[in-house]
Amino acid sequence: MARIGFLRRTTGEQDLSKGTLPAHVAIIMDGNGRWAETHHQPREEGHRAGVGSVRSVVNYLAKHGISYVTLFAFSTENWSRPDWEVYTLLELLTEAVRDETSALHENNVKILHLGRLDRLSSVLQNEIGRAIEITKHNTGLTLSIAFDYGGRNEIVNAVRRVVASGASPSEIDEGFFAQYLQTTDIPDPDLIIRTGGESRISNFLLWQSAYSEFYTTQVHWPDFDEKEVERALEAFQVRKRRYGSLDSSH
Amino acid sequence: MARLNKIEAHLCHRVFSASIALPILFLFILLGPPWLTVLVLVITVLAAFEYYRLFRGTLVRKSLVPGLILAVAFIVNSYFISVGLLDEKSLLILATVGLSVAFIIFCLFNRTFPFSTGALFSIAGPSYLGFAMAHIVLLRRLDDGTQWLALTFLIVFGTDTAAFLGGRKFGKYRIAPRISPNKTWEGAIAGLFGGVLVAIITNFFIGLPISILQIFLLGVGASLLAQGGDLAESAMKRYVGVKDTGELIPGHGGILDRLDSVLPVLILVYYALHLVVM
Repeated sequence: MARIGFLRRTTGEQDLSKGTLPAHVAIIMDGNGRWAETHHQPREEGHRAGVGSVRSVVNYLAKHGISYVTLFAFSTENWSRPDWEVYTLLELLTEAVRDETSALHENNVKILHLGRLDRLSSVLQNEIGRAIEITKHNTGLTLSIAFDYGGRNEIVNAVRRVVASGASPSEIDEGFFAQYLQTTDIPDPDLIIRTGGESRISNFLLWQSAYSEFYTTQVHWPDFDEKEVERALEAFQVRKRRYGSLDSSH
Repeated sequence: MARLNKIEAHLCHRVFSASIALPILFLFILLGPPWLTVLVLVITVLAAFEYYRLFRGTLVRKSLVPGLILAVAFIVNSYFISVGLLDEKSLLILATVGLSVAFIIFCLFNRTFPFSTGALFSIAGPSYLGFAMAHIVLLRRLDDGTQWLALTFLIVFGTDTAAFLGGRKFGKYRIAPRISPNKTWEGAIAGLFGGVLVAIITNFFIGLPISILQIFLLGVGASLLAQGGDLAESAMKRYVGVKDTGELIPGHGGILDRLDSVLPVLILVYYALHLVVM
């Protein structure tokens, strides 16, 4: 038995090179608070550890040639958390954007924001705007931060803009509508990872996730390290994606 | 027997806890500085623990030990003042130096987010508690010390009770539905009347050396501060997402819930006295 385990522990890079990798990985980063609880740490420490995970996971995905990464950091519903936690998350994101932008820029990463900006602090709005501006010509990985994002909110906003554009009902089809979403320059996610043990979409990329593979794990986000990403990518590689049609081998 | 509804049960609970707590408190006030200091010290320590319980799951909790030391230092300092070992000004010096040192330590070691509110709750919270509680000992030391303390607690008790009853009878317009859904403007006005009325009646019996205008103004100020303190504690609980304070003594609710309105009034009465009477 131990032998089999030993054999299975080949290095990830060789394993992953055999199959197709997802072009777009979207992650619901859940479990910071519960991680903190199990480690007898304050919740802030859980969120701070979560920032460390973002760094290592994004680096890993960039290294393996993933083109698009989208991170769900804060939903439109998260405002109902206690103010203390909301401000903790706002300040942590402000600090992270401020501190990480130059390193991301050096690695040719392009930064985008999904969701509403108007409810964020002006300092955070400026930091995000600056990060997007600095990295806008980069050609490497596209990193989208979904902060104050809600899938329904995005769809409703798109509907508003479609109506405002005066488009006739007959010209509106899926492709037309998708142009009005915030993700218009990003392909739909191939793989959505949710950490923290829940199996919900939680208002994340509702339109775009129509045919995404879903990978959930009990691992809390701060513990989601390179090995765990590798495991998720391996799981993706053995899935058969049929997009509603029959598998070609049948 | 008809069951008491929730509000009536709550009122009974209040009256009951007050009818036990107030006599014990007055007994210790009469016993004088050493005993009173011990009681104040015990209440302050219990309240400090309860305060840090509110911050369960946040980094503020890490300042428990320094916060406790700071709060206790104020009480010990007030005892030294009351036995004549230290000058009265030492309390303000302790407040200044203590807060400064605490702030430097906080900046050096703390990683709390959000920083500003983290500093406020880690340092200012326990300091405020200890500083205000120290004034029980300081007030007792004055010539009419027992009377001043009696006046202080009775104004707060009167405000609290009148606000509760008035709010229940006339309550319509909410002051801050997000912070404390049960507080109404009608209740606040009733509390103000109740506090002033109790101030005047109490002074009629104990005869402190101040004019009717002065006791009226003191009643107004004390009543407003008592209600402000109450609201401030609710806002703090709301901010950290705690709905109920812990029950450190079973069946008696939170100590902080009892103290929140007393603390600012203690400070007001003491320094108003210094400015006007002495």
